[in-house]
Amino acid sequence: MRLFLYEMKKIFSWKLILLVLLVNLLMFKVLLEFDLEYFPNGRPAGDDFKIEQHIISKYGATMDEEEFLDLQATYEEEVAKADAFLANDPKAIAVEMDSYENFRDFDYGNEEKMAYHDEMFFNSEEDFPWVLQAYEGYLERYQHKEKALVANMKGATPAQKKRYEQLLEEEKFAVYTDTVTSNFKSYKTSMAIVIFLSVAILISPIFLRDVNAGVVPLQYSSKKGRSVYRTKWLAGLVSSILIASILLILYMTLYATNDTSSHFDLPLYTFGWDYFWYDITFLQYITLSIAVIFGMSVLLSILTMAISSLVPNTIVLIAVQIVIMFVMIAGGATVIINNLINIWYAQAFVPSVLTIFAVVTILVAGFVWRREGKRDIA
Amino acid sequence: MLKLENIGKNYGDFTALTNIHLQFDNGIYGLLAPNGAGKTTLIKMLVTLAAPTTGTIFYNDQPIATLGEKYREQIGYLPQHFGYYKHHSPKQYLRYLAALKGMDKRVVEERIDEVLECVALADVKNKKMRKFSGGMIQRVGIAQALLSDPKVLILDEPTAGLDPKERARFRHLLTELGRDKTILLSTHVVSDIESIANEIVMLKNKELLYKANPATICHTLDGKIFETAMSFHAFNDFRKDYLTLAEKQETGQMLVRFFTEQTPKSDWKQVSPQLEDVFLVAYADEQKG
Repeated sequence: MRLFLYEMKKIFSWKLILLVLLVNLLMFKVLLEFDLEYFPNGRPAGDDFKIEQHIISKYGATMDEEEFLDLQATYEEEVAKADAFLANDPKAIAVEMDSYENFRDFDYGNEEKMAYHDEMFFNSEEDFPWVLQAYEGYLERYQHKEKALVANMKGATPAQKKRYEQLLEEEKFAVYTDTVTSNFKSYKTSMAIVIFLSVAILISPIFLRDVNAGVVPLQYSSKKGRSVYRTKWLAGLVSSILIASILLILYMTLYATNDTSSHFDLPLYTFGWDYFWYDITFLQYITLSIAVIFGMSVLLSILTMAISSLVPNTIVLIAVQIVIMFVMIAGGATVIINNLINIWYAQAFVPSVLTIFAVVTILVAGFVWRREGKRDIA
Repeated sequence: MLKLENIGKNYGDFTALTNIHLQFDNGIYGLLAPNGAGKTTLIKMLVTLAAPTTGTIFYNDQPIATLGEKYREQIGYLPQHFGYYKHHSPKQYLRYLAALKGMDKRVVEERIDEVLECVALADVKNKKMRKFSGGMIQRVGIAQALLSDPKVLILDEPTAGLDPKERARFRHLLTELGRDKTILLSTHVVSDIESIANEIVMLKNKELLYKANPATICHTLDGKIFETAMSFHAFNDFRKDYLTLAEKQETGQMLVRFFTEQTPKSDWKQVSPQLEDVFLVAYADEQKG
């Protein structure tokens, strides 16, 4: 235990902690902050999100005819408010846009009307142009609920087509926008990048540090002998679990400020644009994403430890880690994490890649373990 | 008791050591050979950093490979290149090594103070080793080898970097420790061991050349070491024909110490062989390159 704590202490050296903090701060500013500060990102996303927070509690994951009529009634109430405003606005009257119908379906070639229309959208404190546009989106999505699924079937693989047909058959249509899911996808991809980088930085020197300091002969000839190697692995594993957990907790706590809990119980098919292989809820999707990021971080730490044990010097370590980090960011985070159960990739793609990653990592680690047990120490 | 039976070590096609039979009891053993003769390879096998290709090493009649940590807890080892963490103080580093050695936490602090006192580093025990001289680092190395009060001390080039005063202190320390420990001291500096070693082990051509006390080894050259005086001009020719061991200028002439198996000439004075002579004669061909 004493030795394990010493090894942990070596991993969490103040220099590395500082570096990890610096990288996190930098990456937070560059990547993560945007998805927190600009969520929902402008209009109409902001209006969509506000409406969804209101209507999810009323309609749930699906919308039936009665709910549609209720939504339409709400829309018409909003239209009536807009009509009242426009009928009393001299500028609207001047350009003959004295009702919402006239405001919406106007002659785009008319410069005066266009100017008023733009002013209302972009330079006015009135919300109705955006709010009503958002409501229209929900109404149209219901009225043409099969359209997106049917359109996606064109050019789809047989497996994708089967999934779309299943959704059609089970009447699992998109009711809401992808404002929340696309934000989370972007956020979790950035989060994975930062966590992968942090794990790599912290774990990379684990074995090379002692080789460079020339202390391996003392370690292996001591009473503990080559079991020190196992202790270092254990310390590395615990450290990576610790850092991945801390960062996941930290970043998910920050994500909580986006206040998307209203969407947690919705199944993924109800969000527009993206389709998924499984009908899990948004909260389950978040949990799955966290679990995969965590699992990949642990696998990365094992691979990193194996590399740290194999490379002859720091320059080679950095070179190899740059390649691995490129694969982890471009492939692991941007493809795997971002498209976890997305229908755009074959159903078996992500599980296969993750399985290959795990098997390769375990094989490399196994080879390094066996080698370390019997190799002559220079 | 440490016993080596038919020890050999190959690295691929290269044979580093072959057919080594040795036995070490309590006392000081000097492992003497030029650089590259296999001293470090032998030591690495003794401290389990390398496995012999042939043969077995026994500690108290049991193979060290079987004994594992029970053997390793009996040894104190100073590698040829002593590694350390620059940002550690001697005390911090020895605490870490004490954990590696599985020492009882309750005795560690006291023992660290003792060994640092022993190597005259007590006053800098909390200073970062980053600023230490080579000699100070080497003394930390010696301290760590002594830390667990091991039964077997294996020291690879322990006097490297030590000044004459420190070397003398070190020899004195070893003489004290050698009473109830097995000490194997590898060096290519003859003066380090000739006065303190109970036995000298010499390796040549990957094999054991001698294992005997210094006097016995020196006797192998009885009647073969001479001194003579000659002019500088004559010395240049002389050394083409004879293996010269030492020379110094004296009253405008060269006083030469040399080895020969020829019948002595009248102006040659036979002298007692020293360990240094044995070393130079034994490895004369290697030194010529």
